[in-house]
Amino acid sequence: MTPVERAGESLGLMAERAVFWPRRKTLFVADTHFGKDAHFRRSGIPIPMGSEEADLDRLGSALDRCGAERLVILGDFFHANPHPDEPFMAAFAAWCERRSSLHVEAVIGNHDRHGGCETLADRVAWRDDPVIDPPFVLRHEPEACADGYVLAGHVHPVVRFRGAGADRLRLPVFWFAGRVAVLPSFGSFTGGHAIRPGPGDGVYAAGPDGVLPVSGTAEVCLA
Amino acid sequence: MGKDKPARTAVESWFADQGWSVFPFQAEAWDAYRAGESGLIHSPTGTGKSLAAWLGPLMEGLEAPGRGLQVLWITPLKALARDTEENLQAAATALGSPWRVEVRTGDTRQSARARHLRDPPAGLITTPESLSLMLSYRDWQRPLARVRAVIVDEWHELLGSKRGVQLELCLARLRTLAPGLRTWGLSATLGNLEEARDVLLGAGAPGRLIEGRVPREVRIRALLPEQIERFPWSGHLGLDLLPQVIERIESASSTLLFTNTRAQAELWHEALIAARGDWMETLALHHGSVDRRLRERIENGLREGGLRCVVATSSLDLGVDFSPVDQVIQVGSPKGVARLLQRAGRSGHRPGLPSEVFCVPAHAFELVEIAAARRAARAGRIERRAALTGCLDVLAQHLVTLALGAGFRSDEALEEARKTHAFRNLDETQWQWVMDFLTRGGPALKAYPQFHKLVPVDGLFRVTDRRLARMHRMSVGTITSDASITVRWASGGRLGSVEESFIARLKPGDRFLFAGRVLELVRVRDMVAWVRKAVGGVRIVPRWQGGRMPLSTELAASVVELLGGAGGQEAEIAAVRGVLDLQARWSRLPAPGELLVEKTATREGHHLFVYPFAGRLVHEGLATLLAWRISRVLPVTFTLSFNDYGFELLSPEPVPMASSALASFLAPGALATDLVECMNVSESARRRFRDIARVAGLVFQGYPGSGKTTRQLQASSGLIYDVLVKYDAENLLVSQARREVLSDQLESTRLARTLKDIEGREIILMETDRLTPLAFPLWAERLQSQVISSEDWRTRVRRAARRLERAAGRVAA
Repeated sequence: MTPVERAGESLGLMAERAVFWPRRKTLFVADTHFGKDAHFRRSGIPIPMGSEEADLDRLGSALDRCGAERLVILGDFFHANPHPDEPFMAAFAAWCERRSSLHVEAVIGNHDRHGGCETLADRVAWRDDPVIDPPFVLRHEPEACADGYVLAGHVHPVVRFRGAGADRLRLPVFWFAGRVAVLPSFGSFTGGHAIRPGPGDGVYAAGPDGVLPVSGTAEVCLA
Repeated sequence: MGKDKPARTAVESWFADQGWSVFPFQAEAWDAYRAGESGLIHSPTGTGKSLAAWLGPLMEGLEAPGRGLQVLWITPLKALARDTEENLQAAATALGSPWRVEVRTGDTRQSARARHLRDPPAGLITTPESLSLMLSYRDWQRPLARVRAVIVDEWHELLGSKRGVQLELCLARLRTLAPGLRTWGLSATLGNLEEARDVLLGAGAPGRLIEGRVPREVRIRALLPEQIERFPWSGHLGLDLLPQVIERIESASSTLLFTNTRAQAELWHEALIAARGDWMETLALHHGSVDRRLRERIENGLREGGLRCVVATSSLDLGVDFSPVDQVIQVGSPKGVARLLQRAGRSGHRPGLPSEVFCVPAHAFELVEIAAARRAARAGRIERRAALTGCLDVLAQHLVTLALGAGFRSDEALEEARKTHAFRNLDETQWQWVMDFLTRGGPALKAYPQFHKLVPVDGLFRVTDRRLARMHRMSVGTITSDASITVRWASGGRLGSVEESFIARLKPGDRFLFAGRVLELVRVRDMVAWVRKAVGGVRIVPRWQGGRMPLSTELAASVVELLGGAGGQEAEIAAVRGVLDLQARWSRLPAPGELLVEKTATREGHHLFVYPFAGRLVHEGLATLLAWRISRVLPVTFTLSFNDYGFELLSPEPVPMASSALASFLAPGALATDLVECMNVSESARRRFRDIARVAGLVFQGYPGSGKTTRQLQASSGLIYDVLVKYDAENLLVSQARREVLSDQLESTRLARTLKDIEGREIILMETDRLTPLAFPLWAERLQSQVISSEDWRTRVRRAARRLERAAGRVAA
């Protein structure tokens, strides 16, 4: 876990693309976009199943690793309006059964408004944006807020690294700007948006097995 | 032939009125058509081919006009459709035929499209994509069943591409709908004309091969520089010949100046304007990225004689019955014999006078290439164009089209697909996979719940969801389009389009050269790059994809023969004699039966230069392969560079290397597996997947006004590729991406052939004191590929060239 201090609180950045807040035993993730592959399949685009199961496993292992008791999804829990018979609904129910003491909250993001936020009421506490959780403000879109330091998603930030020759690497990042932090998108079937951080921003790349501070590194080439 | 007589008389008197005479090949084509045959008409120039194909059906129509659609004319380029319409309609009117000819492409208005269906013209000019779209409508099945002939123009352009495969499938469908259908193709000269005909007509169907007007003599001449630089390097010499080129342009009333890349076209256009400001109004730039209306204006200008010179790329290689110009100039190596002949054919056309093309070498060895092209042309060694097979993405798309149109039965559709050349060997497993892909998402039923696309209705596979139907029709037209960005003035007005990958490298404020103007990027939004006019300053010339085409096998072989001492009477060879002598003195000249390898050390490190003369793509593969194989037995780091003649491995430490060891490293061995391991095939395949995903309907780009619902359906092809590799590794589209990388990008077949060929050659290992004339361009190429400021490498190259010049002077003295 890579430590970061913000608003007088210490946070831990995890390779699973999650942020742990030890004092409140809370794990933050953003943009899970569950049901995205199913939405594609229903629209005649054959995307195989599997990524959601892997994402739930990853979420589970992040929770196990940090011992969080509360999980907050910073918006876009669902990608589209989920169908009741969607495989994810059963898989998520089973996942929750295995973690009966876990409290799950979701900030309502733009994708959740297609109807997702009206489902799973017994398992997920849907919260209207913004959620004030001092000293933090939890919301979906990264807009600064007078009530505290904002933790958000929505952007799916990535940074492109340019190595020697044709060597290119694209990694999701945690992006800590002045009054707002943006988490990488958690869902593995989600795209990324290349960001241009400001000079004082903290940028941390989430690699397959660790988190690396990359802000200000000379070889970082911002696309 | 009795029945034919009045029509033929009408044709002959119309020809006589125009001052034309009927060529024997035209009469042959007309007769063959009337006898119910199909075939391919070929010649290096466009003259008279269209009428050879069109008048057969037209004469038949004079006696039996028929009702509804009679002839489909397929053109690969929308831009050609209007000219063709004029020509075909003019012939029909002149012969007193009631036939009406119209155009139907992506640009055709909705009202005209509706009319085509209600009251079809006898002749319809369309593109492969629009034909496919017509097949996707139920209402079009009956009109299409009446068609008696389909004529495919510029078939060589479609052959070897996925659009060609799409057309093969559409033609197979048309033959099912209209059993008596006759198919005629028009093609430039190719090395494999019989195959080209067989692909067009479908597996096993007989047909004619008719040679068009035998070209007059084609003269290929080089513009010779007064002083040949001893150390040629890429792109340096070309512009040095600007004064000679201007002189030639002045000597004729119209000139086409062809370049190999759009970047080169931009540079030459700029240089000519800079040198001759007074030509501003009469000098034009024509390439595929220039906006259509602008291109049309240029084409008209050439036709009407208002333009002195047009700088063009392959966009003008097409263009039917484009009126000939006085002369053609080719800048840079022609890279292939067929292309040079095609370009040369744009000139002259005056009776008794030969077609003539002046070649402008960009470096000294290109003089050898020019002489080699002339030899190959004389000997009739023309390049082949290989047809594609097994493109499952195109098949999947076509089956959805059929399902939308008439619906299909699986067994009948398989039988029909197997009648095409592309899918003649399609096996049951592949077929079943494609059907599973379309009906269940994938072979493992469990992995794709809730998927639906094709649904069986009364024994026929159909699309029942109207949204899917709309999405499919939107995607059909996109088989070729690279994601292209429209370039627009910030103040309004369209300039053209450019590949997304180029714009992606620019930041707002960057200046670049486009369509003959220096532009400044303002911003990019929604696939539009907004620009404003820039003044002076640093510039970037766009490097479009495919800008660097490899030297063809035929031309490369001819170059080696010439270097090996064959002939030598040519003026070009005499001009580069000094350079060749120096190469012979410092090292050795490459020769057939040998593989020249040079070893030398400089301050930079230890260089190994290998010259297989197999084209740059093959050399890229070979260099990587050799470096990888050596690095498995020795700890070493290599820097690689390559060009059309050979490649270089540079290492900081000396690599002990006897020619026998080199031979074993270059042995074919386990080529396929080695290649997959050493090249980053998976990364390239991921990029390659972009096209496949679009064709097969895995990515949907949306359409204007499609709003949120489709935005939710957008995912990059790379993301989809990753998900497929992880959760459906057996997906045949993923394997297709890998196969396309190996066969197209790495030219693995040619690479295997080269290794096999090297096995039979004697390896000549020369230790040289310094870079030889053959090595120098490779060295310069590497500098160019490094990411340093452009001024820098130019300076460094010039400095090095001067140093070597002095050394050469000393050695000579």
